[in-house]
Amino acid sequence: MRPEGVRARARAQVRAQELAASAPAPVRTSDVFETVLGNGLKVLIQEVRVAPVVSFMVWYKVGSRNESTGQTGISHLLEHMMFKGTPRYGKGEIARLLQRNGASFNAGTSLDYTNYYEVLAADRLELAMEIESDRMAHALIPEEEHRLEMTVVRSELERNEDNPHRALYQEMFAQAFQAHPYHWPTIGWRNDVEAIRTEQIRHHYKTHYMPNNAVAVVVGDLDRERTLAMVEEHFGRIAPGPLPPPVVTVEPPQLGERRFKIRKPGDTRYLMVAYRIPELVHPDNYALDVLGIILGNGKTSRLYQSLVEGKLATEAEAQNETARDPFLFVAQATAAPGIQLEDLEESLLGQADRLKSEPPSPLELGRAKKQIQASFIYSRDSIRSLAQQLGYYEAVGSYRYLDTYLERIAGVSPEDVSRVARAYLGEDTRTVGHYEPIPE
Amino acid sequence: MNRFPNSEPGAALARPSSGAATATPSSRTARPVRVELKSGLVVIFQENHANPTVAIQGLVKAGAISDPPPKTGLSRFVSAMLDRGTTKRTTFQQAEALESLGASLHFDAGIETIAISANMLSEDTGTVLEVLADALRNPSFTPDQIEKARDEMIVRVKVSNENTAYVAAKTANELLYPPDHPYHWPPIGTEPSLRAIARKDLEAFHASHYGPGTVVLVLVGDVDPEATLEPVKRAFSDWRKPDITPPFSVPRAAPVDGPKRLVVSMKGKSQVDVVCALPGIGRTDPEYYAAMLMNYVLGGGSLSSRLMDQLRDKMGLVYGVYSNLNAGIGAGPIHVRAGTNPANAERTADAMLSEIERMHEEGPTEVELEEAVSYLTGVFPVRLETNAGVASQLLGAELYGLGMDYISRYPEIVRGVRVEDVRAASRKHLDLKAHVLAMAGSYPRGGA
Repeated sequence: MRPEGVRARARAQVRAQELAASAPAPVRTSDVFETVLGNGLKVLIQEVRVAPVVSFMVWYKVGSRNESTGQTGISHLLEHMMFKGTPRYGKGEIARLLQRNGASFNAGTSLDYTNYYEVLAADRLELAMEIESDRMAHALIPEEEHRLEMTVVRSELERNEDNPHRALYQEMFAQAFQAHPYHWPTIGWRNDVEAIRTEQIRHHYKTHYMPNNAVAVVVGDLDRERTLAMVEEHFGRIAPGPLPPPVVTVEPPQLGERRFKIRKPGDTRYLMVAYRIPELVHPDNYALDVLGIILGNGKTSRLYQSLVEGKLATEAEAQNETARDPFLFVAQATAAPGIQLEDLEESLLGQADRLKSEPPSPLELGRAKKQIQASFIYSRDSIRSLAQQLGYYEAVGSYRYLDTYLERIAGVSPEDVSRVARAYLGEDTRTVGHYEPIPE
Repeated sequence: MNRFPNSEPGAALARPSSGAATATPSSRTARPVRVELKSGLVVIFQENHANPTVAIQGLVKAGAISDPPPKTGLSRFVSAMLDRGTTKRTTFQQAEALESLGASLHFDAGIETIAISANMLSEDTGTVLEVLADALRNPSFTPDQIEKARDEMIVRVKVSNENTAYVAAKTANELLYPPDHPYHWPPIGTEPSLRAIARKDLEAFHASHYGPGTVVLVLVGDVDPEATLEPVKRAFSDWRKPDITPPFSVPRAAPVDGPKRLVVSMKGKSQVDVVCALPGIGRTDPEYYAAMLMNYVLGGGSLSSRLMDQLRDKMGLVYGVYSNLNAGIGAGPIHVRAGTNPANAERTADAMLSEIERMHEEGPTEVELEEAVSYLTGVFPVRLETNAGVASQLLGAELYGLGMDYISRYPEIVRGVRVEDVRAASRKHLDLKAHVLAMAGSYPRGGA
């Protein structure tokens, strides 16, 4: 995990988080009102009276993590179908109604969750609740619409295939995870996506979309009591269901370095190195987050100073990417013209290794912590990012994780950084990917 | 990827769907304060004390339209040198001064202007202003950093040239504008043009285009205008104006003589990108708001636009299809763009053209216009939700002379547009006689 503000500064066009995990910046949670409705819906409400706007989100605890071979990509496909109407709202009406009301809205699917959001004028909050509660229980998912949507999804798949960063990430996941569902991309394997039947999407919907497998988040210019009553009115009647089966697969230990190469027509070489790291709530992630910043965030970082200033790369960065289950610490670089990936790799690995024996200076550590702390404060500038953080952490663990995050970051010592570097940045648990273009 | 990136301040105003959610600050009764220093530098403040943070958005009137041909990419090259060392600080010291505060400062080269964006804790505002002034005023252009920047830009050109959406948009602009027009050229430059740029070119461009008369800064957040004016003055007041004010305008291009079409074949791509381009209008054109509404109904980012409805929902051809009105200081092109499977490229192009033609013939319906107005006025406060969102609106208002009350006037301006105005704009600006069409990707497949 690494805060959004810090992350926004990084330069890669595509991040693991975009394809997969999303871990926005931490927020103080003391102002959050939390309750659980009778049907099991977790509700988080926070008043922020800065602008006459509210953000409403529904998070379902289902993503590509909850899929199996043959049906990969079904969560994402379901997300698309959620815009195809209910008995109350005809095809296209959800989008049209929200637009008419000046809402900014969208949905997203990731490894661990699927979310739907609206940001809109505070006096129109009820519309968002009407729509989200209606489609939590009554989405139609018509077969004809599924057929039509397939071309759209195909187009999305092809768009991804043409992006070298995405191609690298996708292959990285496939190599680093061999048993766990993080093996496949959230968008799914193309053949699976093509083969999924409408009735399977409906089944996936019935299995995972229910109040007791969801989190509703409301942040903005609101009155807590009235908002809670509104949530109760619209969502309280929805019947709970049997909780979906847990994901039981645990990725076996990695017993040696893995390497892969991607060759496609093109002109630019890319390098990616990923190390296995523990699940989001594991205490070593605090030091790993700090390590990620020291190694690869910003121009003062070690990778920038050595690789970019050393004329081996035109960009270089690293980040501790966390998810609900164990995930990856990812370092990557774009080779400068004429530089071979082997040389770039040697330098990048050298920087990672150096931190194992030489702890960062107090100045360097302080700078990394300051960046995390500042981004924590910046995150309060937007009700949308506030709602995003609360929803994300509640969907993959607990929003309470945010209460102690900064304290734990402040407690990271130089020796902690070296300790986690030694523990996780090892040769045997890393995967190295080369994107080596075929010259045209 | 587009020739007209989102970061272009003008684009924030020109593109109703840029998605940056956001709203009037808590002190939303407070009015923006605009100050023009003696040197000509304009600084605008808007208070919002909800959080101890400040967002700066700014611009330098030194974008790609100022590139002297054939030195395309020069303006971007100069902006890439601003954070690569000054006469006071090394590159590392510049970065350290910001990163040790958890602050950020970026320069983003656009077609018309260089966009400045920064975030900081309010207690660090003075420091960040000083670092910003140093970067704008004193870049050192060391040979070592010039070569690194050159490599980075060349890689960027290569990466872009492998991107079908970029190549299609670039090709469309090359077809639509003659080589003597600045919009003909890619703002990121070309490999040969970047290789030919020398240190003296960078220094000369900087000397003529960077000065107090070409810079606008907007500070939104936890600022006290009176108190913050002091560090602004400290950092900028002795900045001398260049002797000659550089021109900041774009000539009107002659229309193309009849439709043109070009296919760029690229190997190993899954998609073909299709871009249809038409001559657009400037941001200060009186017809701008009618054209903006026309663009919204046609394909300005909404899921239920005509283009999305037809090409995505009814025909299932594309993941997304959008139209952009690139209205800036000059009349940037109208781009309609989509990516699709190579087998569907022709159908996509045909469907795109027929939707443009239908809008040209009929304009929007009363209901479509009402929905567009309702969306644009409703989403406006959402866009102003963050300090950066407010700052970018104020910056556009300053650049285009819309007045410091622009934010409060916006809803009534949009509501005042009549359906006849939008139909007239459609007839004028969506005439396919003047269109060009570019496709890029693995096409034609198997010689089809």
